[in-house]
Amino acid sequence: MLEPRLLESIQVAARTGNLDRLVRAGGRHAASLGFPRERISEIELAVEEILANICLYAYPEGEGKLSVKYLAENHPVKLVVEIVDSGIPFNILNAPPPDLTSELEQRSVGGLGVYLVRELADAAEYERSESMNVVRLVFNAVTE
Amino acid sequence: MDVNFSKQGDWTIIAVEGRMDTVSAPEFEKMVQERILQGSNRLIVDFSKLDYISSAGLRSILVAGKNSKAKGGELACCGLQGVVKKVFDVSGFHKLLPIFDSKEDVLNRE
Repeated sequence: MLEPRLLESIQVAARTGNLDRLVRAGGRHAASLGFPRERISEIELAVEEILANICLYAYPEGEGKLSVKYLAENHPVKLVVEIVDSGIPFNILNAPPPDLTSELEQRSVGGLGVYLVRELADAAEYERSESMNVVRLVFNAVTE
Repeated sequence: MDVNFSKQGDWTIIAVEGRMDTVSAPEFEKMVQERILQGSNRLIVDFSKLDYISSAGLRSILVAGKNSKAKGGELACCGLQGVVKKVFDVSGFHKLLPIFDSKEDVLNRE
């Protein structure tokens, strides 16, 4: 199999003010790979959720960095998003499921972001490596 | 994101346009909370021009729904489409809040 092709690699301070730019870059790359409009929004959403978690929670002691790599695979076409931070360990795959059933007064939305990522990405992987959180999200251009 | 408030009877219609995300959702939440504190607690959020919502947006809708209900009011949603509708469905929000096709459907309910 061919190695994924790097589309863009971005490293920024983990601040919510940087989110829009990073998220829209994902949308742009998804569009260039031919993803339909609604799927592009879902990709942007998944990327935003991971990045927002990093900006808000990964560095409680101060400011850190995060990096995003957008990669393309061919045959079949996939967009791969690799997100790395060096903050506190957070395995998105082990996060407790959100509350999806309580009535309005009791409902909390904790964990909803990560849940949406797992629902919307075709594959989500997590690895803690050399004191870094590495999240890989895969989106297939054609869904079965 | 643009937020436009209007009144129809005792309903406050909140039309949102653009993207409700990590950055814009807290501002939206604050604006709606101000209206609730001013006594507007029957709210219709019109999503028909919203292109995008993330969990931060859902959180602000949930908070607005709770706050209006705590004041004896309610929050209804209308105009959900595309990815916004999908996110509502996946998150179980379609069972949490009353959902209508259009704001007229809410207003004509009575």
